[in-house]
Amino acid sequence: MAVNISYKCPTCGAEIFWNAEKNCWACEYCGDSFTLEQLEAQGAAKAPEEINKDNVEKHEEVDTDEYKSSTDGTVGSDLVKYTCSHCGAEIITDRSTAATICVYCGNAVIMGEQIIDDFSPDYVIPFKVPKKDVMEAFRKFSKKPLTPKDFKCDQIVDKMQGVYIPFWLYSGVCSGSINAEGVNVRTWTSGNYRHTEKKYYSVFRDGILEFERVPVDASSKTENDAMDSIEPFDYSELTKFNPGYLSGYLAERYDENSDKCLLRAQERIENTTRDELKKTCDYDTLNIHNYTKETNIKDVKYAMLPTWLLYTTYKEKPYFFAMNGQTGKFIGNLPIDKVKLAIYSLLGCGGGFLIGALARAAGLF
Amino acid sequence: MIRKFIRSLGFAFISCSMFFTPIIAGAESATTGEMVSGGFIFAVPGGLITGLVLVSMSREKSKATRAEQYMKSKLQLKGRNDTYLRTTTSKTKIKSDN
Ligand SMILES: [Zn+2]
Ligand SMILES: [Zn+2]
Repeated sequence: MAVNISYKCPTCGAEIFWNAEKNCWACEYCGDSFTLEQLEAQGAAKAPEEINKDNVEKHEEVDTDEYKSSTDGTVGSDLVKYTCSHCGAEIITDRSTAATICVYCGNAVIMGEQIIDDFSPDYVIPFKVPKKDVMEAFRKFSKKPLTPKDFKCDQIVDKMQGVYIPFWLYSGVCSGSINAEGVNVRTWTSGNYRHTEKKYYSVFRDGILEFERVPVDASSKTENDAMDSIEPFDYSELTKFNPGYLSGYLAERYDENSDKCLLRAQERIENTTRDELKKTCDYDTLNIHNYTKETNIKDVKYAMLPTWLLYTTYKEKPYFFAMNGQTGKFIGNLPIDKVKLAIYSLLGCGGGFLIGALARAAGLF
Repeated sequence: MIRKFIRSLGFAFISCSMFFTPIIAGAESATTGEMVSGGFIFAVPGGLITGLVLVSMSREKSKATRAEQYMKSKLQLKGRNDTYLRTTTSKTKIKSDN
């Protein structure tokens, strides 16, 4: 069985791709655009089972040595090769990446075995930020006080890719209880003395908290911190997965299963439950002595979430940036101009000096 | 959260120092020596805070440790107990006895 991600324009027959700007499938040739319902009604979107097996791109195992130099280092050794049925070009990708567009002729590649079975996700959030807007957004994002002057966005980007990243979405309940010591402090002055009174309480709280769709990225190729940082996604646009949404983008397959990623969701859930229990304690200070918790995951869903990944080089050092393909939020660590940092810090010293001098002059200390 | 706090602290600090600059010129109640020594106490933290704030603005990547956006409903408390334990008092002298 194979999955066709390539739709033909019902008007003119050309290949059509997901259009992030128009939020539908658009034809570059005749300008028509279609919703998924329209495509399905027109029969353009065939059900997976109906696809002729002979038309499906076959992938072959690749001898790793042969292609080692052509990969960018982010790719593991487990490579496969596709042959584009339109132009005959060979597309090399690793097993967990599904190439959905031929980099040479721009036609959609029909995915073979990679997308079937456990690849097929429950949900997808379609791209909303078109490629042409990414660079401008990156330029804005990079305008920080410490960014070096010669950090020219257009010149340093080596590779910009629209990639669907696999995420596990965990829903469940955490029951937790805390034993803590609460202290209320009262101070007052009388005569020449300041009095301090501390009242100690033994505090116990027990409660349950329900969580819905806590996301954890399921690909080992993307940095966890980076994927955490591009949250949140707007789940109101979460739709049932259809391979057609992948047309024109790359898609990663999960390579960390839901059991492995569970720990990260669990940590977040349990920290938040503790925070919420703490919030119900009204003390000046609260020291938690003991926190017991139990997380019960009731549902795990697999979703493809849109990201723009930017691989850049500045002064021979690689930098990685990512953008939330739905909300446009940019993340990444920008290079820092040390001279600028020194100048601004000196200015800060000067400001501190003035404040200190003024406070002294006003008799504040 | 912490990042936001540091940032707003930094901005408050920077705007304060700009606001007070003209005022300080007119302050004459303390001796110059006192003012200079006061200034030095604040100079280093001022530089550090400014540096930290600006660096944090260039850093937009961190591990997620919380899931508060994904809470389906509010916390349901099943049990709560607050037991009074003890009181301690202390006093410190703030002015010398005349
Ligand atoms: Zn067309
Ligand atoms: Zn091709």
